[in-house]
Amino acid sequence: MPMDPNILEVDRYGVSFHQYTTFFKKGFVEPVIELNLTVRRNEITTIVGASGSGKSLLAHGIMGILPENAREKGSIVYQGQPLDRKRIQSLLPGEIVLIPQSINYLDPLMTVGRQIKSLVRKGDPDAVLETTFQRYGLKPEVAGMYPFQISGGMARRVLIATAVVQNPTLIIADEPTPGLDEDLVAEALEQLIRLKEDGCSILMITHDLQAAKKVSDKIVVFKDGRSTCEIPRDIFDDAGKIADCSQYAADLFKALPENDFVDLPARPPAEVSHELEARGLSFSYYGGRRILDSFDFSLNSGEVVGLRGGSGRGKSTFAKLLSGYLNPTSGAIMIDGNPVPRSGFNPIQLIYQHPEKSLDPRWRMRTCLEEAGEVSEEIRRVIGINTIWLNRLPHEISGGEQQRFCIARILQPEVKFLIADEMTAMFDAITQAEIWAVTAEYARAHSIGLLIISHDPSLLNRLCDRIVYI
Amino acid sequence: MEAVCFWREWNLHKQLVLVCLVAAAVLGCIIVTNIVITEKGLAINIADAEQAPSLEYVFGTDWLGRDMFTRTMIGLKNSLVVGLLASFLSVVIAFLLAFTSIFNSRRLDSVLNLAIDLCLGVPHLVLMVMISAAMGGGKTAVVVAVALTHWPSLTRLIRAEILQLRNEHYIGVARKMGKSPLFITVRHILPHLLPVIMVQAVLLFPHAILHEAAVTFLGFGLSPMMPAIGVILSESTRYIAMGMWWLVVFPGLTLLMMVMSFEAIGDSLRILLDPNRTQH
Repeated sequence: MPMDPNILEVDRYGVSFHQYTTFFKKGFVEPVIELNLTVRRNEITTIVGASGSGKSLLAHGIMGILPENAREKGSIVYQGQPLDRKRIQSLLPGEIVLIPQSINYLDPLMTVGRQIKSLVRKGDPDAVLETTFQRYGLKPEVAGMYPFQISGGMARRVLIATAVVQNPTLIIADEPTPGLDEDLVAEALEQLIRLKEDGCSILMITHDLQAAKKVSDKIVVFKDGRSTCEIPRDIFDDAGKIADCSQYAADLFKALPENDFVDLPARPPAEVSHELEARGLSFSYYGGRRILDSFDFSLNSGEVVGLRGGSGRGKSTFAKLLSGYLNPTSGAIMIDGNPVPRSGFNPIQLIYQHPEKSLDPRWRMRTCLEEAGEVSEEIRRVIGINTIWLNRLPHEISGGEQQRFCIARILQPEVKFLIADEMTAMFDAITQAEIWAVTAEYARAHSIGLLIISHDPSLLNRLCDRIVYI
Repeated sequence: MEAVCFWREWNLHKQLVLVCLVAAAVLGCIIVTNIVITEKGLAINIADAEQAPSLEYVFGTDWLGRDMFTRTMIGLKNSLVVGLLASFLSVVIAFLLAFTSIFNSRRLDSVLNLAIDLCLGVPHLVLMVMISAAMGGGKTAVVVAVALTHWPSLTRLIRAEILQLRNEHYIGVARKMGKSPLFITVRHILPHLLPVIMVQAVLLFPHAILHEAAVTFLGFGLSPMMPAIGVILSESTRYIAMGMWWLVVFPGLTLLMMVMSFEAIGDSLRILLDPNRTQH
């Protein structure tokens, strides 16, 4: 009997949640409306979409771990048979496995080796562990370590090892790349290709289209709970053909830093010029390892500078030191040769990676926006803030919209330098391009020095006057 | 038709309304009886002594012929007043103590922690009996005793909340936008604390009533002249063996009903006020 080429078929799949719509009435909200996709045997299929487009819900639906108040419709067919809760129970553990996002999913009180061995169901656990470790380039002593002792790159390999020792047929990789620097992303993707060579079928979920393009055999674009179209590998670079399939998908591809993205506006001659300078900056937490050691840096008004460096090199620490959230162990930060004032509105402002954490969850957006002072109509327009968002609470608008508020509220006349720490790492390509366009334009027009911290080299190459390595 | 729809799909919001109604009914009953109370209601009437519950005497009468319904309602009123005062007082103590952690002083913190541990180390009831006895009993003594024993766990909770809030990103951002500590406290921290405090105060209230009844039952609380629930229960135990079950059952049940409805209100509020809830 010939094998079915499709390992997983998702047909008109929808998820709705039973929750309060008014104070007394419960109704259904439907975040996932209609998803169609097929995962072919021995291929990497990638789901790309903005947050809230239903990617993770689909993964949870396949694994059978949706919350109690969820109702599903449509069908998920695994190897020719429908996948219902009962079947999931009999398949799991081992046949379909999820590679979790981070090391936090491991038991912090158990050594890595013991956790992996506990998952082995076929053969001698010790032997399986040894061969898996060899295959993924992990040293034998890693088995004796606890999750908090291993570095980011090792963590990725360990997480993959936890999946492969179970001999899976289908692997679901949930966001395997966010927050990793270029080398680690390359490595994580390399591991996925190896898994494919080992005969696994892979369903990858990500908002990182660049990573998806590198390894996928097929990309499925999700938008607002619907699957828009399936893009096979051979037309990844053919904008016309993608546009035939779905305009949204085409826009998504076009917004990548290596395609259209944003052009850095020219630097107008500055009327006033300031210089931000960090001299011999060192930092360590309570006598621990030095995270920064005598680092020198300078940034001028109107300049856009990129900061690159592997994970754990202290990029975020440096951002916090510059903007005064942390105090350096030694060294000084100065504007035009004077120390930065410690009270009042800080002329150096930091924009975080997570806008939802930078906004008071109980404040309306209007209050959040005007916390530091009035924000002019013009800034609101330039940053692209819609007036109807102003009366909402932070959780009622999307991450990209939240980030616009975080940017707009600090654009006070006093601000001289902006530090964007992975400002758009959580967003899809279109949102990312939009946010960078408005930020770069404003910074250039008002002679604000902009420091961009990112792990994405093509973004930095596109946006920055110069790039500094840490 | 509307009513049918209302009950068909039971959910937490409806439950909250129901327990609020029960609590309001009990409260209303207590207030009304205490207003319309007459000398006759409390008078000793040996002729009618030891009556089982009937239409005339809903809760029956005791060994002196006093109407148990009236006595229960007055007892509940006394319990309510004590409970309210005590829980309010302990919330105030807890809030003031917990608020010191905003100053970020290590010495202050360790003193506070020591006090909390000390207080939690001694069983509640023992401490309450000791305080109440030392103050010579009576209403004030019971209120002070309950208030002084119930602040530690609450302090710990509010303190943990403040410490967590202080590390939130948006607080740091506000500081860097030049906002004063006062602004941050009033606008960012307090609004997050209030729901926590409110829920805890509602939950503390039935607890305080129960403890008041317990201390009174043991003879260290309200004076035996006052018809408090604790006094009624403690006196009535002697008569259970004589088959006068109504002397304990009705006062006990009403106390239970009141305590449980307030607990349910507190619990539902806790879930409702959680901004991250989606289910239930």
